[in-house]
Amino acid sequence: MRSDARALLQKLNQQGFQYQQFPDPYADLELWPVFEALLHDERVVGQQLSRVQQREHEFQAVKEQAAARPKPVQTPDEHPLEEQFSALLATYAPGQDPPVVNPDTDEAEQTGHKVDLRTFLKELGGARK
Amino acid sequence: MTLILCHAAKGGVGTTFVAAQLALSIAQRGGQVTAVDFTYQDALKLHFGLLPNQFAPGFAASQSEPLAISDVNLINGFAEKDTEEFLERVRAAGLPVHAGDIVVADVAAADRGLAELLYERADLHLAPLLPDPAALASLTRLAGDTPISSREKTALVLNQLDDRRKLSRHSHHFVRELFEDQLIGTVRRDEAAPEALAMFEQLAKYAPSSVVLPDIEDLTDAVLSRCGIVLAQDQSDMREAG
Ligand SMILES: Nc1ncnc2c1ncn2[C@@H]1O[C@H](COP(=O)(O)OP(=O)(O)O)[C@@H](O)[C@H]1O
Ligand SMILES: [Mg+2]
Repeated sequence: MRSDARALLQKLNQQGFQYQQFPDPYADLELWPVFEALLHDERVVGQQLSRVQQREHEFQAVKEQAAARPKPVQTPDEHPLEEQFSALLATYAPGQDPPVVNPDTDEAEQTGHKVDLRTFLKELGGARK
Repeated sequence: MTLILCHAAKGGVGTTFVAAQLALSIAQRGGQVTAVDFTYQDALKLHFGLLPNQFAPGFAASQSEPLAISDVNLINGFAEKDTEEFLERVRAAGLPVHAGDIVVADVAAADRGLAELLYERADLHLAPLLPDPAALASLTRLAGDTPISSREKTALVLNQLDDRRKLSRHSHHFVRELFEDQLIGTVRRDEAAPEALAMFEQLAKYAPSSVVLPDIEDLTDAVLSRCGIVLAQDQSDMREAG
């Protein structure tokens, strides 16, 4: 066996090795439908979700004051998580920036549901504190 | 009595494994531990190195003839668990064990009645979980209609993590973000766990360098602190460190 191959094999056999491969958790996070289903399930995070929804309504109220023609409120049952969060982000008051995604660390994750899950979880974390 | 209830909505997630390793780890730190197997399967004892044809006593028999392995008092509560006498005793005064015991109870997934009864009496409810879709989905069945997030005694243990598997990594991050502190511990997957069972040996003896063991130590720290227990040995460790 070539010595570099042997070294690699040895490394792979070290039990600690496999667990140190993914230092940035967010770069490796994806919204699988089963996650989304759990996020929506009252039996899992009943209170937290409703708090997030409450915030959504608060943002909506602010927006309604500012704009003549407010966007209709989207209800969770009719819209997937991504849409709910676009709605939530759209309701940030003028001058208040939505959470920023760092382009240096998130190349592949600029669009789509990955970022939305991160945003969602950040919002959820914020709502809990 | 301090009661740590181990119960999940789904079988095969490591409830028995976590219960056994936790009991052993607390006993090793000098805690007075009783581990009770309430399942039909009777597999808790295997993690202590017993054979299938070696039996732990019931609650009553254990009073006169206790069986202690690695300083853990082992009881099989399956035969007594549904008797009126037992249920009344638990409702009135908790499990029939020594007053100072830290009890780790292994309850089968389907035995929701017992799980709910013991939950009332428990200081902590550990619900092991696997990073796979069926186990994740079973979270919806863990506590009836009560949201898990509002069950103050319930804490999740994500077991059999394997960072080489995408779904395992994603599930880990998801569960951590979603439940924060309610995820009380994680345990990595290691084939040495079933191998030790196959050898009828305790994991710490069969594979002293298993990655599972430090994870169980961390879990034990978290569990004891959640239950407000400070063991003599941990105290002396702290003195040495400080
Ligand atoms: N961290 C782990 N790594 C590897 N195997 C594990 C781990 N935890 C549990 N197992 C194995 O998974 C199987 C199921 O575990 P068990 O504790 O019997 O589940 P349950 O009590 O939830 O039905 C057992 O063979 C056990 O050895
Ligand atoms: Mg079991």
